[in-house]
Order: sequence, then C-alpha cells, then structure tokens
Amino acid sequence: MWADIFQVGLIVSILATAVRMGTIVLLGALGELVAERAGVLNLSVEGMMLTGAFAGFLGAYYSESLWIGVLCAAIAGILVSAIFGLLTVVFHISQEVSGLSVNIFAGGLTFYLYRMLFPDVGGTNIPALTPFKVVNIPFLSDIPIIGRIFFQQYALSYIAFFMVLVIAFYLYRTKSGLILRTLGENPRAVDMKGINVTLYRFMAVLFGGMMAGLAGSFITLASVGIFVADITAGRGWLAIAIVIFGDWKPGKILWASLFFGLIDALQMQLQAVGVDLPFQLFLAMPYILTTVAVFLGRKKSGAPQALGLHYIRE
Amino acid sequence: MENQKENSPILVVDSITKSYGALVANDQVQFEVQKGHVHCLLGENGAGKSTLAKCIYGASKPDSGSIKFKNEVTHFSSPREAIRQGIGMVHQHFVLAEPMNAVENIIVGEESTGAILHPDVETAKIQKLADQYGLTLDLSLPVNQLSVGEQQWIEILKALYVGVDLLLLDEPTALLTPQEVDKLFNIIRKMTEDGITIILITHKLHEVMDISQRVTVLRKGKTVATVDTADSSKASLAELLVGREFDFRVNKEKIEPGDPVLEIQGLTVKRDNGTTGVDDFTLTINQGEIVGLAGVSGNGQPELFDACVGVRSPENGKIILGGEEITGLSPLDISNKGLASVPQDRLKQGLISDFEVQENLILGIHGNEPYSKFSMINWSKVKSHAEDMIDNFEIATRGPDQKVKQLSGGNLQKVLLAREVSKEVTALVASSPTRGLDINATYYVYKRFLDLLHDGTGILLISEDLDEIFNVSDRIAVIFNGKLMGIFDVEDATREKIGLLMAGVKEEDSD
Amino acid sequence: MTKKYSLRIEKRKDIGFAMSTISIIVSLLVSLLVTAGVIYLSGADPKVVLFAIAKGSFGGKNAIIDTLIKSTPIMLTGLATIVAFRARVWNIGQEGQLFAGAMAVTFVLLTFPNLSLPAYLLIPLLMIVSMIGGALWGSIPGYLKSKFNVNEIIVTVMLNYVILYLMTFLLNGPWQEPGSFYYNTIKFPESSWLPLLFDTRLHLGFLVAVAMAGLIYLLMWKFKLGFEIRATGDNPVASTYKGINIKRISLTVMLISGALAGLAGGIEVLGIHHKLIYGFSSAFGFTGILIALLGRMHPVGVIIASVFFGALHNGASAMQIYSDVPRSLVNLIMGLIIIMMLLWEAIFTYRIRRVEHVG
Repeated sequence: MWADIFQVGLIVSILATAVRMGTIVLLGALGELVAERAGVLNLSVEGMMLTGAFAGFLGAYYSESLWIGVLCAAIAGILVSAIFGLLTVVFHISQEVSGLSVNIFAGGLTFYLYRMLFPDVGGTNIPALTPFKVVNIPFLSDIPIIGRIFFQQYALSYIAFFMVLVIAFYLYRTKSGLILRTLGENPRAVDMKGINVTLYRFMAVLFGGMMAGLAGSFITLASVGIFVADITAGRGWLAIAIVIFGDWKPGKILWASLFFGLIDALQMQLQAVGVDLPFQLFLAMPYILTTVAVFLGRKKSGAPQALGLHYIRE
Repeated sequence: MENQKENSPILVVDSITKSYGALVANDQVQFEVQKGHVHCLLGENGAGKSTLAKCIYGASKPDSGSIKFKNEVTHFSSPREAIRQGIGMVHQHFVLAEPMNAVENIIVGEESTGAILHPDVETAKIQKLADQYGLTLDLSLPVNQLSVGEQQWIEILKALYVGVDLLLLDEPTALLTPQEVDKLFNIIRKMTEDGITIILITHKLHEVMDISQRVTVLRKGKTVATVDTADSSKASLAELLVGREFDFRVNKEKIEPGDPVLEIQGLTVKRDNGTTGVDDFTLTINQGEIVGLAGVSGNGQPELFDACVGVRSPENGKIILGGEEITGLSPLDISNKGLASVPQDRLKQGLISDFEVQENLILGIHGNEPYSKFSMINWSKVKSHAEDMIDNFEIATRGPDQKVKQLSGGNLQKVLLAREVSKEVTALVASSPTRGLDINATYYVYKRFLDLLHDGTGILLISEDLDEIFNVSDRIAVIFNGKLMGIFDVEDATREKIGLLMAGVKEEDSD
Repeated sequence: MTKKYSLRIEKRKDIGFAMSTISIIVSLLVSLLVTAGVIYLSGADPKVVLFAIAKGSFGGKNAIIDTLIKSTPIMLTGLATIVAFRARVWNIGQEGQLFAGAMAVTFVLLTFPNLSLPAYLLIPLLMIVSMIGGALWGSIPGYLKSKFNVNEIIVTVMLNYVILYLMTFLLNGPWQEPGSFYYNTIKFPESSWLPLLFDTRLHLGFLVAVAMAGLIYLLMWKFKLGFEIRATGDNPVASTYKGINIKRISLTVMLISGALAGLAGGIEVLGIHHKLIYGFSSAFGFTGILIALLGRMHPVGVIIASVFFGALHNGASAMQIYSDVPRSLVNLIMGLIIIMMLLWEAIFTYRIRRVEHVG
C-alpha cells in the first residue's frame, strides 16, 4: 500500500491538488486577515463564501463567461459583508452575534435563490457549466515536478498567490497598511491622528467579503462546475482558523493553507488508492487538524490586541 | 534674557470656563505662558488640569473665554488641527500600538509620509530627532519591549516629528523611576533650549522646583496664583496647593479603636505590565476607625485594592482579616470571611448593568442563606431584602426590578453600599466611594460608614479627594509610588504635611 | 438672545421594554414586506403565497400537529444555545452534540439488545443517555476553553464535521443494518419508541422539550447557577470581583448546552425514525442558533420562535402546492427576520432630540 503511494507521479499529483484545494481557504483567509488586522472578527466567512460560490455560478451560467461569474462572486461577497459591517462597525452590535446572523441569512438567501432559479434540479438534471481550465504558465510549467505542482494551476490560484504578495506589501510597506495594522492594535491611536476609524474598518470588512466571495467562486467555477447546498463544507470556518494558526501573517497563512490543502488532497487520493483506513477518517482529517491547530495556536502572539472589541471614542 | 521674553507670551489663557453638567471643571482660569519656558500646572485630582489641557490642545471647546496661541485666538475643532498649528500633547496613558515599533507608531497616519513607506528614510529622520534630544531608544524594537520611560519618549517624538512649538505633558512622571525622570527632564531642558515651550501638568512639588520657570496653581477649578518658581519653595507651593479651607468635618464621636481588623504587612503587588504597583506596604486598620489613604491617582491604589479583595495575587507580603490570613484566597472566600469592598469603577467592577436592582443587591452573597438554599435562589427573600435596602438607603428607583443601568450615579453607589453592608462586615475597603456624587449622596455614604464603625468594623478609605480624607478619617496615611509615606492621627495632620507627602516629598527634605 | 434649535442624535442609556417590543414589531413588519417583495419578484402572487403558508401552518389539526413535531428538536437546540450564549460562550456545535446524543442512544441499544426494560424505564434512561452523550461532546470545547482559553467557536464547528464523519463511518460499517444499502441501523425495539400523544402523530418529545424550556427558565432565573451564568455573560469583570468563577461557568454551560442538544438528537431518533439514519437532522443544530437569536435568548421566546419556525416549514410545503415558490423561502424569511431584528433594535437605541442652543 505505501509503496504505491510513494510513486513520484502520485506525489506530484497530490501536491498539485493540494495547491488547488489550498487556494480556496487561502483566499478566504487572506480576506479575513485584513479584516482582523483592522480589529474586526468576521465570523460570517462561511456565509460569504457560500454566497460567492452561488453568485459566481449564477453569473457564469447566465452570462456564459466564467470571469463574469468571478466578478459576480466578488460583488456578492462585498454586499454580504456590507451588512455585517453595518451591524458591527457602525451599530456596534456584538461581532459574534452579527457574524452568526449574517451567516444564517446568507445561507437562507442562497438556498432560496438556487431553488427559485433552478426548480427542477435533481438526479441527472443538475445545472452545470464548464469550469475553468488549467492555465499553464509558459516555460515555468515545463520544469519537472515543480512546474506540475505550481505552474499548471487555475488562473484563480495564481491570483491567490499574487494576493499574498500584494497583501504582505500592503500591510507592511504602505501607509494605509500601517494605519490598518495600528487600528487592530490600538484604534485610539489612529483616531487621535484624525483618521476615521469606522470607515477604515468598514472598508477592511468589505475587502474580506470580496476575498471570501472569490474563494467561493473558486469552488464552483474552478473545481466542480456545479452548485449544491453546503458546497463550502466548513471552509469558511477553516479560513478563520488558518488566520489564527498562521499567526496573522500572510506568509504563514500561505503555508497553513497549503498544508490544509494537502490534507484535503491526501484524503481524496488515498481513497482512490484504496487505503485500508475508513475514508471518513480522511474526510475528518482537516477538521481534526484544525482543532489541534487552534489549540496549538492559543498563545499566538500575533493576535491584534483590539480584535473583536468595539471602538467608541470617549 | 528674561525681559525679552516677558513681552511675548506664546499662550494666553483668558477666563476659560468649562462645565460638565453641574460640575464646573474650569472656573475663569487665567494665566500666560512665556515662550521657551517650562510652565507647570500644579493641582490635585479634580483641580481641573485635564479639562484645561483638553481646551488648550483642541479636544474640548470651553464654554466661555478664549485661548490665544501666538497672538491668535484658537478655534480648534480637533487635536489634529491643534497639532497642525503647533500644539501637541503627551497623554498620561499612552496611545501606542504595542506590538509595533517606535517608527511605525510615530509615522502612522502622518501626511508627510508617502503612500509607500520607506522605513529606512523614516527611521533615519526619527533617529536624528532622537539624537538631537538625547533620546536613546531602540527604534526597531516593538513598543512592548521598551521601558515605560522609553515609551513615553515615543509619545514625545510623535509631537517633535510633526514639529510643535508648545508641548503639553500630562503627569509625565507618574509611572517613571527616578532615573527615568532625570532623563526626561534633561530632554525637556533641551527642548526649551530649542525654543519649544513646555507646559508640565503635575502634582509633584519637587518637579515643579526642579524644572519650571513659572507655575500656575489650580484648585477646584479656579486659578489660585501664577508665580515664578525662583520666588517659591515647596512649602509655599504646598500651601497654595491644598489651601486652608473651612473644615467640613463630619460630626463624629471619637470611638476608641479596638482590635486590628485588617492588617496589611509588607505587601508588594505588581501591575499587569510588570512594574511595581504596591511596594512593601504595611498598614493596620482597627475596629471603629477610618484610615484614610491619601494619594494621587496612579500611585498603587488599584493594585492595593485588588490584592485585598483577592483579584490580584501579591508578590510578597501578607493580608490578615480579623486575625485570619487571607493572602491569595479567592474573592469569594475573602468576601465570605467578612471583607466588604467598594470598587473605584462602579459600573465596570461592581455592578452588572443589565441586572435588576435586587439582583445586584445580592451579587457576591447570592450563594449564601437566606438568599439561596440548595442552590436555589429565594426570590421573595431577595425582593424583601431589596425593598428594605431601597427604603433604608433611600435608593431612588422604580422598584427592586428596575435595571440598574437606568439609575443615576448616586443611586448606583447606594446599591453597591447596601449590598456590601448586607452581610457581616469585619472590614471595609472603599475606593473613591463618593466620586461623582452630589453633596447629599456623599454625606449619606459617610453616615453609613459611621454606622459600620459603631458595629465594630474598620474602614480603609482610599481616596484622591483630600477634603474627604480630612473630613472623615481618624488616621491619615499617604501612598506615593506604592510606598507608605507616613501615617498620622488626624489631629496631627496638616494639609501641608499631607500635601507634601502626596507629592513625594519626605519630611526630611521639605525646603 | 435668540433661541436656536438643532436636532441631535444621541444614544439612550437603555432601550427599555417598550422600545424593544416596538423594534421587534417593526422588524417583523419590514421582513414581511421584503418577503412579499421577493415573492412578487419571483413571479408569484404574495397574497396567495402568504395565505397558503398560513393555511399550511395552522389550518387544521394535522397541520398543527406537524408544526409541533417540527418545533421539538429546534426548541431543544434553541435552549442549548441560550444557556451557552447567555454566558457569552459561543457554542456553534449544537449540530454535533445532537449527533452525539443520538449516537449515544444508538450505542446503548445496539450494544445491549437484550435489555428488556419496560418503556417507562427505558425511555427516561435513553433520554439521560442522550444527554450524557451530548454533554461529553460539548465537554471537549468546554474544557479547552476553560483550561486553555481556546476559541470555542472554531472548535465546536470543527467537531461538528468530525462527529458527522464518525457517524457516517459507523452507519456504513459496524452499525449498518445487515443487508441494507443505506446508512441506517436496524430498527430500535418498540419499547424505546416514544409514545404518541392524544392519538395523534405527536410524540412525547414535544412535551419533554416544553418541560425542558420550563426547567431552563427555572435554572436561569431561579437557581444560583443561572444567576452566575447571566452575570458572567454580562460583566465578567464584576463577576470575578464578586467571587464568581468564570472559568468554571464556561465549562458548565458547555456541558448543559451539549446535554440539551444531545437530548434533541435522542428524541428525534426515538420519536420519529426509531433508528439512527443518516440525515435525520435537517440542520436542527444550526437552526437552534437562529431560534435562540429570534427568541431573544429567553425560553419563552424559544418556544414561540420554534413553533413559528415549524409552522413556516409546514406552511412552505403547502405553499409549494399553490405556487412555484420553493419551500426554502422559509430559510430566507428566517434569515431576514434576524438581520432585521438586530438592525432595528440598534436603530431604536438612538433617539432624536431637539436641543436648545442659547446665544
């Protein structure tokens, strides 16, 4: 059994899948990172992702353009996060309650619209579209092994990697990013400099929504090409956990995302190979590991000090 | 040189009055500050210094009067504007993002930095400024790894970076060691040599004598006097500071103090940030007496309170209640053994705002009979108890079921008090119990204290209001930098003596 | 001196019962309007649809029975949510704890097939077993939070998935009914079936749920523990100063919350399916959160909200006969109501006052 696994081809295939699966949580985690760095704990990532998945599917299905679908997903994510932002950043309602409520709302809305628009779904009659094709980066994709893993991926994956760099640059090298980070540590310091805390935080929330929406679109448009209920399967929550596990740093979050993508990939591949262990164990692996990760991450020092707290000027 | 500067006050404060509701914080405050001076604002808590500072640096608009800066009347709508005009403020409680370094804290949000940060350029700029004023700190370290003194320099650098002509410093030495204070004063001297004017808000007399050229003394919102430091002494300033006021002493029969009820022995307590809050503190409170602990805010009183109540473990030392050691016990145990406590922040530390009056009245004793039997709360007993207390303490409320957050400050305090005395009380520790209360509520609290004394309780009264201390205490102790500075019978204590001790001046060196 | 007036928006100290009630009414009305609008935009006639829902919910004995049946599990998970959320412990794991309860019952019945206890002993025993199962599953995040300060939100959500897969494994393996291709166990012995009430399809579980609501009410407002739970949730600082052990409270509420969710699971399998079958829970756990929020964290509110929700679900089935509107409209309505309630309560915390300027 193990000898089968250690074939190079299989390993490469697993790693390539890892990158693919990791992209989803990476996009979600990056968005949540920005929001949390500004001090806002957004628990509605799952709902935003689901909305994005649905909107992306819808947009692509009707417009027959996958990229329009991606755009729709981003917009949907922004709109849903705007509701969350309104409740919590503007009205100072408890962030946990707001996040959970928006999750429920997004789930309900998505499910309803899906059934509304596709009433005759079932069995063989599932609306589907042709998902994205893998994009080979010229020249780089020909490198043995590495090329297959990293440079023969979907366009959205390349965007995700690029976003890691963009966000890292933004946070640590730009004036606006400095303001954002300070917001998460001591909003009063930012307020005293005459900057609008509410507006900044709201924008951070919207960015998180956009990224979550994009993450959702990856699921429906790059992976499977269909939409079903609960297609996100807890990846939104996983994204939140990855932010903690990645100690609120873009680089670490990238690795954590890839790691969880690897677990996902292993689970799929090992099933196919016919490993003796029950396949449910593999399905449960990401979730078990996330729990362990959060436990290990309980003393992480990177948590923004003002995370989850409302700022009211005295 | 003096004469040249005489003609050009950089700041003129003209009849500034500011009220918060019924409280008049500043009452026709009047003084001038010369350019290049270190000008002290001297006063106790509640004298109006912070309010005045807020008006100067743009955080507040005075009700009447005007402030002239560089010969122009100021109309600041925010501190941001004030900084742009050249007035900066270093707060007592720093506004820093702790995991980030000095450079980041200084440049965040500043217009002068471009959209893309150039850390090297910025660091060099700031390093130059730091060197210019002798501020030796590692600009690359996260702020939480710096000492309190160094953190303060960052606040100062914030103002220097933008380029201020007038800098206000609010109680800057409150959390500093003597060595750090020396360093700070050298920095201040350098700044004035460069033409920056400093207003130093303080309650410490030796500082005034050390560093200032002129000092304005405030008391209860009014300007008492503005004098040249050269013509003053600690004693003369102390007199201006505390004044000789009519004694509103509470009518009290002298009770012979009995056995010790609360003994604090060699107590050392650390703050959350690791600095020492209480330092080898020893004090005994006896039955039938009120010991007033005088001191300016921030000298260790919260840590002392927390240790007595059981919320904070002391590093060293013992606390004995009614003969039994309670050091390190849980708050519930300590409370059940007979320690009553009135915390400084009513709503945050003492009451549950969404709970009803009757629920708050049993908080802490809710597990004891008769309110609770077999873990079930006997609400009819709770209600009748509440009705008794409402009657007894004259709490203005619709009924026992009214939510506490709707009550006024005075009534909140009554609820707290009523709760604390609803059990067997060996000793009471009260922190600023009459803060924010009107005259009637205040005297009510004192009346209750006297009742407790008659019942054999001893009271430790921690207060920042010197009048209060003098009005009700039998003995007066003074805390400064966590240490006990002295303890006197009230007949032997004079305001000047206490004022000096509160300001950190030991008896030997009052010149 | 001329008197000038200006309008100023300021925050109230407390919203008060009257304003709170008005905000609820407003949010329900607005939700109704939005729903009607959504129905209209979907191409159906709002009046017809809403009438159909109403008829399906309460029109006739069967409809009412169905409503009450549907309300049972979510009433329990709603109560589970209240206990935790009131202490500001964010238990999102009701779904998993519900599974744990059902699995505990299944375990006992499958491991001791010869347990010949009469129903009046067996059923209470099994209910307790389900509560123990749920409490055990809830104790994991409870312990992690209380001892190590680990974020309970992520842990509870993750454990939901873990136990789901565990259950799937068991139903596809050692617990699977021999010869079956589906994920279910053998039928449970009849002595374990919850008795039906009043000659209808309504099972005992409903009464148990309502009884639990009563018990939780007593717990929260008549018992010392409930007092401490509420105090901790509102002001952990003051609670600590006044001697409440907030860490112990965190663990305790997770145990109680888990137990209630577990009971919901046990009742569902004993009352409806009489076997453990994959998919026996249609998001009862998550819906419990919804119910608790709608019911404003109060047992009475939970009863009302769960019956309301059950009614809507019934009505939605009926609605499908009369129109093309899918039954998932219900999910949308509920989500809408929650958002509206939060929004309007926040809006009503502010008031507009005319302020006089002098001079």
